[in-house]
Amino acid sequence: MKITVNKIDLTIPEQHKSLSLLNYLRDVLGLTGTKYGCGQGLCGACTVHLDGQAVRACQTSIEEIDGQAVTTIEGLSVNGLHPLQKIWIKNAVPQCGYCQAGQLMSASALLKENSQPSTAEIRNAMSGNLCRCGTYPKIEAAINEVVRGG
Amino acid sequence: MVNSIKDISLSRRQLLKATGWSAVGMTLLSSCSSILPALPSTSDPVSEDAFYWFQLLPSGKVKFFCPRIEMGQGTTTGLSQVVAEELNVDFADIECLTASTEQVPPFKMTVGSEGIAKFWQPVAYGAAHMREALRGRAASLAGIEVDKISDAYNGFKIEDDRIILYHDLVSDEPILLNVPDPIEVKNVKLYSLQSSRSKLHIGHDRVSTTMKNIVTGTEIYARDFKIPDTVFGHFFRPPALGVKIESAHLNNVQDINGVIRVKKQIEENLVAVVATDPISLRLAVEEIDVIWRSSSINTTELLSKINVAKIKNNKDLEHILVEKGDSETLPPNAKIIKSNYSTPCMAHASMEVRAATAWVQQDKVEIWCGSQDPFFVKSRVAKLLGSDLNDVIVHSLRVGGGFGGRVLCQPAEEAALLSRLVGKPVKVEWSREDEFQNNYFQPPYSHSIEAGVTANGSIAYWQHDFASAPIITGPIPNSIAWVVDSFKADEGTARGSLHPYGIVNQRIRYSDIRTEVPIGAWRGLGSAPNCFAIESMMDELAYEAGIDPLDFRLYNLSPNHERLKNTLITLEKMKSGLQERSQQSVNSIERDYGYGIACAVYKNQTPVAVAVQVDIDHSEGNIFIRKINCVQDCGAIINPQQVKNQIMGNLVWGCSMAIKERVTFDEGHVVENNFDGYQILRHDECPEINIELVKSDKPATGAGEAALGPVAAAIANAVFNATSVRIRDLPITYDDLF
Repeated sequence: MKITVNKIDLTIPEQHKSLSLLNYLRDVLGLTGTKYGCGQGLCGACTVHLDGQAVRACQTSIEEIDGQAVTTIEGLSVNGLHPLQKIWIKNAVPQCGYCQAGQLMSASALLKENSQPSTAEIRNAMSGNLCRCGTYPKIEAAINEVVRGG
Repeated sequence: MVNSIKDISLSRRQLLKATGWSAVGMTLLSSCSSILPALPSTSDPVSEDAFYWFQLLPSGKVKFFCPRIEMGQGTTTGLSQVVAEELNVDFADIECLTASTEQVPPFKMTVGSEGIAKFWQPVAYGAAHMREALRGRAASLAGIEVDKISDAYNGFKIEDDRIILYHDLVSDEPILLNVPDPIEVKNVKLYSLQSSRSKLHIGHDRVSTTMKNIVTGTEIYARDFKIPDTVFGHFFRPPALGVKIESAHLNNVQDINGVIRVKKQIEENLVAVVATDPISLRLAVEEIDVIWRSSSINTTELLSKINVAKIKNNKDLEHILVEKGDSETLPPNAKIIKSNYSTPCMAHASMEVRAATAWVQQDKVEIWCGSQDPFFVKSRVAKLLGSDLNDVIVHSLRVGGGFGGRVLCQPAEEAALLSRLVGKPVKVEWSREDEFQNNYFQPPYSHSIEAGVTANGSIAYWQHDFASAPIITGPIPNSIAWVVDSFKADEGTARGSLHPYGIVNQRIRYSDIRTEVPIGAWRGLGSAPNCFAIESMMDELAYEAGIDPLDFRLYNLSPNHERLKNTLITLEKMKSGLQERSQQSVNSIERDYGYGIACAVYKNQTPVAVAVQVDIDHSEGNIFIRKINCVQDCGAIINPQQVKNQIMGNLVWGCSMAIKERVTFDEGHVVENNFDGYQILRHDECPEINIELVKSDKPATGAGEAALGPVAAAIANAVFNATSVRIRDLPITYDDLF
């Protein structure tokens, strides 16, 4: 079986088929930008894109995604920073930062699907990503800023 | 050519400097006794420490070995701004690194919102001292008097048209300060602290370069750290407090490819496995069956001891904080209210799950981890391995949310033991369930407050008794706990229990009861549970007196709290929108809107006031916190954006605490051991937040925990305003309204 990760084609050997996508990314590929937070799809720290949709890598098995394209935070933007990343830096959104890769992957998936989300749609789409430092209002404002700017 | 000044050996200084438990008077003991266990680092910074925090690089840029651990609070950004201000350089010219334990003298653990309050001055001194030492060099180089040399960007102005850059004053080696001949603090001008001076950086928002690493996924947390030849270890950790291993069956674990070593010592309660890679390790862990004995700790019974009413039935409370006037006789003309309040056991629930890498080598032990106290980790690992303290080096990584829960780093100790066993670097990664089960908790609080209010709205009488567990000294080992408890009331437990009101007759007492439930620092320590009780009672009294809650507070404030008064008045100016909404919608059947306020002075230093609007949706059966306004006065501010981030974080945390969080135990097992059981506030539950900072040139005070205190009470007060139901036990749920 084959998948692509950040546009690179990868052949999956037998012993890796049963891994979760999270463990495959971190432990096999060394892509540590995707974080482990809960292992049960409860916190959103491991959010990546699967064919453009936000999924929880800890709840995605490699054998389920044959032929699909995975994008992680490392591959979110190939040419410079994604507009969300730029605003995130300008506004100093992250505090401890541990959840932020997952936040950005959820936010970017939302904007890909809906370029003009309402605040209610943003709040709804982002409610699967926990942040203990309490950056939610800044995340919401940053997404709104990208939406307005775009 | 200017000669570089040699780095001096830090090892002797490290030996001489005690980092012991000064808060409980044990500094001397711990520095001279090898019998006592390792203790957290509690010594405040002194000016001479600052000489080791800076290097001027040949490029003219400055390397700043920041003596604070960064865990999202922004202190490293703020302190870098101080360095840039003192040295007249760009913010980007400061390369801020978290020092490893071999690079700087021991520094105090990163706790208590002290990063700016206690380190601004010494950091400013160190940087300003470097500037003045360089000015001396410039004077020698130019052959003129020092006082003829003025400041310039990234260097000095010698004459009208002649500039000497820092770069010109460094040879090809980085330089430290001229430590043997320091200039006294009083003789060095600290630009960042001069209120009349126009500032380049202080008071302005600056964004750390770390932000880019975070948003691109390249920032390295302990779980992401890797060095070549690292192998992976796992300790079977107890599934409940204090349980021991009955038996362990290794089954076919040795047949699993990649398994390097299995260690089974039932009598030492130890089963561990090491494998070449995390995938093999997981297979090995699944293969091994560990049977645990049942817990001898009855957590329910232990926690039921923390009940103020029960304690008062048997004996008096242990510690008297305040006793003045006549707190025994009930004033004749006052209305008396007596209420009990409680807050539950709570968990840190930091997003990062802890991990560490350790490498025990022939002549040294290296640890890579994220801890709020790397020097504590160092001394614990040295004790554990029987190593010389000087041979252990802890490299600090960014902490993914500390909040008091990351002082210990147990995976570092586990990894060190396993690395000694296999002779390679070993990484240990905890699971989320490990994190909930094996950390310490915020203790439950039980309060009883009896207070009287006169017809004109004066608080005539205040009697507050409360019980909880020791917090600051909570994590110390049992072997010395009895000594500590015998002569020290826990100040962390009492934090925030001294209210800001001028009450003639009052008594405040408490008991700090040590049990086998692990307790330690949680954001703000006692400030949030204590403020919840005090500010709920203030609302009850205001209602009884028929006075607006904010006017009631202003009327009763002690004259010592002028800054809190201003803070409340500013809050009043912000609040109109919140109240109008509640009055407009008062008759809705589907929804009740309510408005509530609360205030506090964090650590008797940072006044903060919050106003909350709640929206209770009866069709959904939901309490929604719609909006929070907050005013805080934390003195002079280095970076307003970072301070607001901290306030916002506290307000969100306060909402979470008020309506969601509670840990329960089942025979020592933490029931809520992931985010399905232990709920924290989610994005769609987060209120709109408005923050105002009071402009001030007073000394900076703590901002990292201040605003948390009043939030839960303001929410409970708003719920009362909406529904006439007074909730006195956290967390508040919709079902509590009926």
